[in-house]
Amino acid sequence: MDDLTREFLLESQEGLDRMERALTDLETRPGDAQLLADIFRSVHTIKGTTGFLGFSRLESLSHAGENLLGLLRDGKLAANADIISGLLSLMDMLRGVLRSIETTDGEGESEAQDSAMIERLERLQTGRASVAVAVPVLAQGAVAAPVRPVRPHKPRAPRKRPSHPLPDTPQGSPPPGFPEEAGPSREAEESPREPEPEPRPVPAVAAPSLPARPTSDPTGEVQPPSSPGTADSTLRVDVELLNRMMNLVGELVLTRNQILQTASADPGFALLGRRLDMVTADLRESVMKARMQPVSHVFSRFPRLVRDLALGLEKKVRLEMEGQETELDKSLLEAIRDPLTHSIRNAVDHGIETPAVRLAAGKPAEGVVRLRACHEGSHVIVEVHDDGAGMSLDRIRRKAVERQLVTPQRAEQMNEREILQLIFLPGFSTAEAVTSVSGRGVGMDVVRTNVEKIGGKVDVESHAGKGSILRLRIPLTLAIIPALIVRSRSQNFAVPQTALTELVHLSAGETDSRIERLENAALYRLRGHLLPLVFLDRLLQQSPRPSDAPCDIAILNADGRRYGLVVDGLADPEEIVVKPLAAVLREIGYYAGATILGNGEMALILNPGAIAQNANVSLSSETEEALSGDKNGARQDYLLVEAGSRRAALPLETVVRIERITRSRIERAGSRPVLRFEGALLPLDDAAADFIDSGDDPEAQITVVVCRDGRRHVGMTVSQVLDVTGGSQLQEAGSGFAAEGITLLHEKVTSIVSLSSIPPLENAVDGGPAESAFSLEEPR
Amino acid sequence: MEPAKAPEDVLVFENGDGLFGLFVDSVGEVLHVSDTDHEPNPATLEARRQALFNGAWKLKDRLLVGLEPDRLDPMRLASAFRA
Repeated sequence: MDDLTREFLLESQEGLDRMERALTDLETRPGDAQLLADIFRSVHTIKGTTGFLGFSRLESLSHAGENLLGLLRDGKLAANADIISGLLSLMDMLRGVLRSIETTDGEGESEAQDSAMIERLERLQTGRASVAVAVPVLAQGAVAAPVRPVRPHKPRAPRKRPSHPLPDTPQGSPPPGFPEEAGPSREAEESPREPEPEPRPVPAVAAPSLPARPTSDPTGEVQPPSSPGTADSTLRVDVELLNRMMNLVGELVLTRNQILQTASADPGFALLGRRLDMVTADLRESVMKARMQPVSHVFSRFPRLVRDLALGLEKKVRLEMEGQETELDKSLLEAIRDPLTHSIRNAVDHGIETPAVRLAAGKPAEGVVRLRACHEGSHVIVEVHDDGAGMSLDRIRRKAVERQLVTPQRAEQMNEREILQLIFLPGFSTAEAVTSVSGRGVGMDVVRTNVEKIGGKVDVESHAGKGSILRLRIPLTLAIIPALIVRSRSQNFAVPQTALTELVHLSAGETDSRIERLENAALYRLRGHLLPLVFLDRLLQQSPRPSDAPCDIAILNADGRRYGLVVDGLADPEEIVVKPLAAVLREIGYYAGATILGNGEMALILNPGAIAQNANVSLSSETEEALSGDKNGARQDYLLVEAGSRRAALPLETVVRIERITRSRIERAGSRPVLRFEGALLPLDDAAADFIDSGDDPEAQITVVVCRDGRRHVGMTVSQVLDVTGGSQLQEAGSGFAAEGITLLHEKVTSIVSLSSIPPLENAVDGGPAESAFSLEEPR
Repeated sequence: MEPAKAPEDVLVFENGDGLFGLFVDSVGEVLHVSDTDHEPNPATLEARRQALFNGAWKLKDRLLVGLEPDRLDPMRLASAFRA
């Protein structure tokens, strides 16, 4: 295939993508002249270029479409559902031909189909009696201009120089008053950064190379001029190259880790090391950013999907999309395309009821499917929300038993959360009838598997009569993840931080008594609840550890499966670069990858989900319930921290993360200590500063507890995190008023840290030296 | 299992169809347990015990296995193991 054709394919596909979006929009705004002009332009572009390249099939198809669109654009015909359906199927056909050109270099032959389509489009043109007479003339007029030979744009040039080749006009010098294409500026808002050159969803550079359209285009005048910078400042880059860059950055991160851990007496070296650290972090971020694409690339196809489904199912469904500008790593974006498509299908097919049922239930006839994307920490949340009937717990339970996915006794014991989780089991499908849309028994389990494959999580929520929410939690990137390094029988393993909820240390004497057994099942009593334990040494058939040796329990939550992983000891948390595994190791199933640690040793990355499955750990529900139950009562869980010799309590639900960093990473904005954390600035309460003498040693380690205070995050330095424990509320003697700011932990009165007293960043610079929120007076 | 040497205690249960007995080494004590301390079988328990046990009570310093008389009924044992 020559460059010209390739270029043409790319542009046409982009044009069709735009057209698809515009067509579904047209449904809600049938009279929108700008939309019609957009659509017309897409088809027209294809037609113009095909004539030149000699793709006759494309030319005749797009010609027919253009005739119809011309009528619509000139207001001679009003768009209706039939016309839009016709245009959509024309678009599908054009896509098919483009695909065929791409794969076989030929247009493929389908005479009958083509003429049927052309006939359908012609019928649509004459569908209205009022315009029937005018049609031949109008159609003639609409195509007259483009039929003239269109000067081809040069195959390689148009990327950088948006040229508007006009018939009879020298290339690159449009006449004054030539209306600028609307494309660039509109698309630029949508994706300010030029994404990777995947053929289809690349909007930003497509429009400038659109060939001419008649200068009399009525919509031209109202369109804002495009900013000339868009095309000049963006560049197509091969995804391969970006992948390679990401790999290299990964290597660099590893090397940095190793360099930073290599102790050196030379202060100059330490300084260089820190610079390397900073530069690496910045570089890593930039490369990650380059790989990001707004989710609109995936979202953009859903209006059409919902429209078609709703028509087919005779439902009225409106799709609302939010947060389209949210960005996600390209490979992850690709990976959520199918799960999302499936979820939306489900929402329309199973979720939204038919208009009659909805009206009977007192809801508007039109159902709403809301697709929302947003950032949350180092994750992107994508929600598919429908305002349908919600899921029937009874029906799920019945189906699961029917399909022998659970025993009837077990099903009876299950609570709501557990039952909802059943829909993710392979072979589960509640559709009473198999429709063409969904209900073939492959479904939510595939969604879950695909999302888990990229380290994400799926959660479902349902409210009877009000609808259901499917929530996908996707990590921003896969290549570099924070992990805790654990040791088992002197081997290193990495546990992804995402799965880690807390850590319990058992000292030599405690091991025997604190680990309880129900016959052969080891259990640990965590805040009064029994937590199944998995011994890593036994799981991996390592040489067994003496039963009374000290150990650590990493409490993991792998997609709702909670268990404790018993290991010999813990090392530091580390940012690790995930390396793929050799097939031999992959087949074992417990590992998600391998990595090289800062000290140069190798570590296998454990896959918490696979371990849970192997050990038969079931989905637990009691923990969340127990916690929420506690919140209603006077008890609450606290993180007990220590700074110097004093203790304080942080409400556990506010704690986001606990990080160990070198003191030198704490910087100052004005007088406020701040920490650059995951690309954002974290206001700090440097409570531990007074207690730790670290003035001379910038490499001293310090623990930072990252907490959520309302919508913002704040950090607090402490010298040690002691425990997670439940605190009881204290009451004033006599009055019975609940005491604020203190709680009873371990039978000691402990003050609760007030996060809101950490001043927000906008006051950071001019604010005076803030007092510590960490009121560390000894309890009196 | 070791062959029983000493005379064993037999716990006698009554169900709808009649009586059945459960051989035990000895009877320890009678305890009052509270439902709030009860937890269902951990999922990590092996299948055979899953079928026989009915969860455990969390006593102060140990766990007490719950046995479900219904499931121990010799007539139902077979079906319990199939499940």
